[in-house]
Amino acid sequence: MKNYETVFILNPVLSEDQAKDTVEKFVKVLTKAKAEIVNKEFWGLKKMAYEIQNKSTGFYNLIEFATENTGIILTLETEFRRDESVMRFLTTALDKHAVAYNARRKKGEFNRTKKTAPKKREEAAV
Amino acid sequence: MTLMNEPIKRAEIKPKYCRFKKSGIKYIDYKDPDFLLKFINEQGKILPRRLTGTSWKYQKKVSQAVKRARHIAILPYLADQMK
Repeated sequence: MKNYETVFILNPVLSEDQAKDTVEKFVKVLTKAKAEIVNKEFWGLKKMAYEIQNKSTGFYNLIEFATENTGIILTLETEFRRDESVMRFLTTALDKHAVAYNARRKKGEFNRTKKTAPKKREEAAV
Repeated sequence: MTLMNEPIKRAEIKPKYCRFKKSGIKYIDYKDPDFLLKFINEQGKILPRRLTGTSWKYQKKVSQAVKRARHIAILPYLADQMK
């Protein structure tokens, strides 16, 4: 079971629930291909460090999933490219340290929501 | 600047260490800007190993994480007054 994680930014023009629907659409693409969704996060409207398509904010969301057939990464990315409300996406493969980190992050061990500052990283010894 | 013939003050020079080996961090998250800010300078450039003292193995992970963070606009490519 290979683990992947994809972060993508949606156009801020969309309303909140429109953004949620497009996220659902991508999740459906994954579940249809029998991928197991490990974690789904919606960071909401966030300010970006630089302008993309001369917009300075965007809906950030993250989907972490695990799958056997790695062919679905290609289909997922073509879905991203086809949908013009997606401004940017990044899919990364996760090794075992990354999976362990994400599991701890999901438990809230770094006790930070996206807004607050994280706990000092030094004590977060893995 | 220590001149050629000036004695080097041993006490001042503390040996650099790789913070990842010391604290046992194995994975550097590209989605966490506050942690990555420690590895870039005011202009948003990645700090070299000779300043941060990180080992090559983790410097590659840091630079990859910073580049990914820049791609998804969490970190800027270039900034005038970053921190």
